[in-house]
Amino acid sequence: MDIKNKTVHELKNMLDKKETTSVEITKDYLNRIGEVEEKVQAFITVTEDVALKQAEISDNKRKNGEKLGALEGIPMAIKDNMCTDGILTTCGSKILNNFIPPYNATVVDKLNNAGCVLLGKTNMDEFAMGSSTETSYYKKTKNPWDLNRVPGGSSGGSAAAVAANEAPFALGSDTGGSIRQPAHYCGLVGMKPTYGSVSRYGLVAFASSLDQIGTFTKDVHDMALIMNNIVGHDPKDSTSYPQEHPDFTNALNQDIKGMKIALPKEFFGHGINEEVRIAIMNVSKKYESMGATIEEVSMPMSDYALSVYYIIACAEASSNLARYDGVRFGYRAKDVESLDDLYKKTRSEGFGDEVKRRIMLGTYVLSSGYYDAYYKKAQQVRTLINDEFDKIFDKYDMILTPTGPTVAFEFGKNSDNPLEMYMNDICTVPINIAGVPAMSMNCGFDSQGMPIGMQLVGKHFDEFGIIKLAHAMERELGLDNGAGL
Amino acid sequence: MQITKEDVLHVAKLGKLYLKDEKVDKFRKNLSDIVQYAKRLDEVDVSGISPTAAILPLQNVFRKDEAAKSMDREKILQNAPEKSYGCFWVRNKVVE
Repeated sequence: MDIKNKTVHELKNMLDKKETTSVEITKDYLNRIGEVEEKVQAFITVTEDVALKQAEISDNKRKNGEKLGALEGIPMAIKDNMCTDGILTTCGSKILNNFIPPYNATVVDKLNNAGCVLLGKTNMDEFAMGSSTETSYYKKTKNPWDLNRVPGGSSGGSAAAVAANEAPFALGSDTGGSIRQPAHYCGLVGMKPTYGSVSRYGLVAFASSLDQIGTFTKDVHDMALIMNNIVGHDPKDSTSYPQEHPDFTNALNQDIKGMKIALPKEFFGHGINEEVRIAIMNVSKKYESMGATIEEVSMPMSDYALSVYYIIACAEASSNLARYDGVRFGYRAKDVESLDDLYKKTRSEGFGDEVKRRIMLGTYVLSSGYYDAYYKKAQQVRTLINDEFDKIFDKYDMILTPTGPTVAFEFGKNSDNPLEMYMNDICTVPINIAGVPAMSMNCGFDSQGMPIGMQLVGKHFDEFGIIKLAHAMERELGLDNGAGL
Repeated sequence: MQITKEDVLHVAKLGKLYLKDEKVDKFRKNLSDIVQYAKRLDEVDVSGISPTAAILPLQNVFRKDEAAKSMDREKILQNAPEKSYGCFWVRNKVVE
């Protein structure tokens, strides 16, 4: 079977009609990985044996008429910062180069229970700190649309795997744009759900008040299907929210007439590339012609979001990453003089420069004498940013913006200048600060054929509204999202 | 806001990191740039604004005080770089 550009819902239909089997599909994806992985480098670990075994169990369940999961027999890829029982989980770092988790992340359990088959663990920026996947200790993932360009980050491996047809869908995590920006660069649908709607249990922590697990899929329908299977309260995650979620597939094929969309002008400044701006304006016009109302609004506080983000994210990271000390798990340095030397040598050898930079920045803004000036101030501005989102959502159903200022850039372009690299996240970080849900979806191509993402931002727990609007635009645009690799 | 070499060495020490000499100046410059950028927050009047640590109005809920099975010791220790008598092992030499 040709799995190229197959969606989850197409595969699901074929399985339900018994036109194919999970083993057959899984083998097709493993073959595809064998064909293109040398070029794309999306995976840190390919779990061929696990996949074939899970696929066989799934086929047997179907054959024996047992109760089937909602995604029975569908293969998937998981970002390498989500724990998988008995399977290497590196977080893109040398410091976890030997870490075999003794348990599954809740999302992995949920997808296993839904019948999914694990193809492998995907490459990422070290500890999810980056916007290009270049800070991974292991490899450089290429953008399947143009192998000289980055796939985005930090979930670049998950994005590239789906765009290169090495997996029909993947999970990523998003702290400041790490799902939406690679989805934008790779022409995919990338969803960052409301903070607290998907359990973070078993997700290696970067910035705990911002991190959220979400999806990479080829279309909006698939995203709705996967979302149905990963949301929900989890007693093991104290920030997981007890919220009832609707069946997200009911948001498909809905009329969007009368919906009110805000276009915040601040998201169209900041060196937003002209081709990107034109693509978003085109979308906005189409929404208008479909019966939605569009109004330009101002969100002046969002200009400060990047400053707030780097203070809060680094402060939380410096605390979260204190656990890597070479004592209980992970890499341990050799030939040490003392316990303190063990900590320092392990961390100095185990972490890369970007991680060290953020640990130091976080330590600085939390240190005595600077706490009020930086950390507390950032938390206060966070309040103002949240208030601004609340005010917009009092009047509007949705916010429409570009996902990032430019299309995917070439390797090495920003890797010498951290601040320049951080600017790629300018449209995505305000969303994590406010904890609202947002997704990126391909809405066109630039003159060189690179995909351009649009971002839809909803109120807390309104993933349903996002899917409704996104699906309407996907039908309207009818783009061919195949990377052609 | 310029970060000094001493600042860099101080936060590296607090974060339990050794820095190679040739990297110190690079980190100093990076951190200065980022802190300089973050200083834009000084433009915002935050008087009387309470800080936000978490987005959702969650309250602490205690689970029932019931005994439950924990993970096997072997499983917990499977990732230990060194172990001894069912414990994580580190050398006992102290700094003089």
